Amino acid sequence: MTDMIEKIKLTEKAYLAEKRLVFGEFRKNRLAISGLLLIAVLCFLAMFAPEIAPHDPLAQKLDSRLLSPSSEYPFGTDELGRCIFSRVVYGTRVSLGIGLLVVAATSIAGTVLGLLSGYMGGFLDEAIMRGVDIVMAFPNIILALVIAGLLGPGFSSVVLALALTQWPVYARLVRGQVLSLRKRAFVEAARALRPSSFYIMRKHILPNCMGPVIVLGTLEIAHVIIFAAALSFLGLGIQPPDPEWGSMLKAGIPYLRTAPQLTFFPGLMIIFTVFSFNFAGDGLRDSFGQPANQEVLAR
Amino acid sequence: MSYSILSIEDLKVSFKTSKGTVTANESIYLEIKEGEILGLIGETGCGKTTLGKAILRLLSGKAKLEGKIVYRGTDLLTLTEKEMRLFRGKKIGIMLQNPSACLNPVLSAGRQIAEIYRYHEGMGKKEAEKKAGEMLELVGISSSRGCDYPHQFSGGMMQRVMVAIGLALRPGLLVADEPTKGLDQDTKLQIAELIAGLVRKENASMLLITHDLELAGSFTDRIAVMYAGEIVEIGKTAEIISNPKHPYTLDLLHSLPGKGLRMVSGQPPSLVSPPSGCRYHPRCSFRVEACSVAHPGLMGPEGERFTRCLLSEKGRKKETAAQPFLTAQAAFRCRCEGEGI
Amino acid sequence: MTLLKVEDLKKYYYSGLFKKEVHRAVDGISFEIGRGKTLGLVGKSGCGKSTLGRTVLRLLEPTAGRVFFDGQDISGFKGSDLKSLGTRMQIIFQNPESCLNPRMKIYDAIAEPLRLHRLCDRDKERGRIQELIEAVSLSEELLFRYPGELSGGQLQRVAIARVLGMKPEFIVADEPTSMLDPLVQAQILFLLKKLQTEYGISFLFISHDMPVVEWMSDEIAFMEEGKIVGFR
Repeated sequence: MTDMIEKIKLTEKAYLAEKRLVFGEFRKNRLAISGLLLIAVLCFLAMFAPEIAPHDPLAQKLDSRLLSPSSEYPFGTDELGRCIFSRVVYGTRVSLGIGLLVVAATSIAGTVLGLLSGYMGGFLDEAIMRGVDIVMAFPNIILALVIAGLLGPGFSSVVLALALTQWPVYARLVRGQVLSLRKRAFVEAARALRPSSFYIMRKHILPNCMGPVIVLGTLEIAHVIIFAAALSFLGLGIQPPDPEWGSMLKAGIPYLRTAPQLTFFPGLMIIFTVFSFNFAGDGLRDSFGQPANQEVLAR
Repeated sequence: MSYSILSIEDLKVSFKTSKGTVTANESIYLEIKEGEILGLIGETGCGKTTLGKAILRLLSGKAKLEGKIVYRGTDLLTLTEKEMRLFRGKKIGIMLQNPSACLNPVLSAGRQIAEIYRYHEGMGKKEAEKKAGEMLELVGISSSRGCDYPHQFSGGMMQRVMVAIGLALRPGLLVADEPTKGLDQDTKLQIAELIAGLVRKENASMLLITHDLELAGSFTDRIAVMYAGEIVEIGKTAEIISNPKHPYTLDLLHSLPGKGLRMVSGQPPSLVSPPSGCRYHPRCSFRVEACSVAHPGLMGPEGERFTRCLLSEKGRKKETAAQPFLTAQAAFRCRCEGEGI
Repeated sequence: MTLLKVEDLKKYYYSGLFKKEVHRAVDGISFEIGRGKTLGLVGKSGCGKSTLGRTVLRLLEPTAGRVFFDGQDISGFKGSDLKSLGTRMQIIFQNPESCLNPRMKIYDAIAEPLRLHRLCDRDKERGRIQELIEAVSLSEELLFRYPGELSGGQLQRVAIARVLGMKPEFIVADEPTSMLDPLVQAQILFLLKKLQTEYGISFLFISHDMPVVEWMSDEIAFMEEGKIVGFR
């Protein structure tokens, strides 16, 4: 009954706040669209970094240290006289690169493992799910720190450390999807044709669980970028002098009071990037999650 | 007995969709009398569930409702949402299809019924639970099972819980949407008997929405048949079952495997662009030329019977000689409908 | 002539971690179905009739018992033997809305078995599908839509066309019309009967609706709690 009351209340709300609701939907869409636009801007920055950056991000100029923003140095300079704007622009390459690489690797690996574990069941399922449990038993950041620490700092070890900690999310999601899809009649109908299990997974199960994976992937990019920045901030990620937002933050800490531009701009970029991927992800989820025109279907 | 508890006048329900405006209900006139059980029969997608929801105003904001729905003198469509809340559950009860989706899986059955009393009548916990127990006994579930959760009940038992919920506040009218869907034959009859029995005992009225003609035939006083968003025939149950006048009702009856299983080809029309003239004419075996042009109104009454068909009893015998006459008659009737006679 | 012979078929489910509980879904069932004949199977929901249908097809592995199809014991079939069985024995489901892959167009759904079993050349595929949809009287314009855009009756026709493409000799029809409206139900039942006389298909027709089974079947078996309690 409470469910029914809940339903009634929902429709009541829909009646009362029709205008507000429409506005809300519009706003949600606008957020998703602005997220997508920001992502496009970030990609543009990353691709054309050499053309956009006014200075060499690594060129030190010790006579112009810690300058405030000016027309020559739009975001000012850091403790070694390097152009912060140029470094931030080049940093986009690193952050987006890590985000995309890690998400591509983990979503593919996690999806394959989840498919196998969900569809095949038995020993394989047990083995994969115990692997997932082991990884998930540790706090993500600590596990990533340990792996990055063992591998030594650098771009590839950050990617590997994050990939090794993030794949279980996809494996679990996909396994859950597969378990519910496996009971659907169309999968049984396909089994009655007696093809290989591989065929059923590829043709019938995989296409029907891609939606949530794409949504999760988009949201995970933001997550991974923060993670990478955190690793660099703690000194286990990208090493100076290579421009990376997290390591720039770390380098700027002693100058927090005297020259806040050192931390302000990289921090701002992290926030923007994370927001834009989160908004885009939420928008995608809404568009995937909503069945087309429920009213007409319910009739 | 002859007062009407609910009367629907010229109701039109439409939805705007990407494919055009769907008119789910059009020019619906319907009256439910005090103490009467009215069956609303139709196929999937003919708009019968929409009508049920429209009465309770449970349609989403996208739906546009025009016309009147009068419950004991109050036009429900003019009420504010707050006023409407007093009607739902308390004056008009609801039973939706698919109980496993309507019951909250984490609350026990008894609790879900008790909730209604606490919410609507402000009862204390003890008292509400006692009333809930009584309600469960009434629908044939021992009150000791009140603390069981929905998944511990079978489909038929869950439907009984739904009956208890629908009737908890002793509403004057119960709208039951496909209460027997997905149940097997024996359980179906038991549930239908239970609902009808309780409604009769309370001297309440009921709108029974179903696609099952046999079920409606044995538990209702009157039947309204719906096709493509319109009511095509309405009358006393016994008369409709024994002597259907609208070709659609006739086909529906004869399509039952127990009654000859006759086949009618074709698909129900789209509600975005219904066929011209009579909406059933593309599938009708009695059609004459006029049927594709003139859109018939609900004609009658003959006794208590209204039929939305151009052809009279005689016409259905396909007498070609009568055709010119029928066409003229049809044109006349259409004019009458247009002028509101 | 007997096409399918089932001998003492059993399907048990074991549950419980410490105390083994046995659920006897199918408990020692035997029957025969002749070529081109229909055996109706009637029972309440939960009596194991769907499990029986799937176990006969070996979509579920039987716990014990044997199934003879066209004189051969198929209980031990593996690999390519089992695969070739796929075209000869098929199944139609109760809920037409979920029996087609929502992300596959109607055309591909009907073509899938043809491609999988290489039943016709690529260049003749279009013509074969045309024949199939004509056999189930579906209109051609629906071919390039997705299942979500079709009605229940249309979807059930697609499911039948898909199965028909393999020219099966035996079909398990698991309540194929119980979710359909009366007029559509009549259409589908007529279609099944027509196909049966045209192609000589045998059916195991599962339903809980007695008049429907009576209309469809040559013989009727009554099932209760995993056992057949009577024939007629």
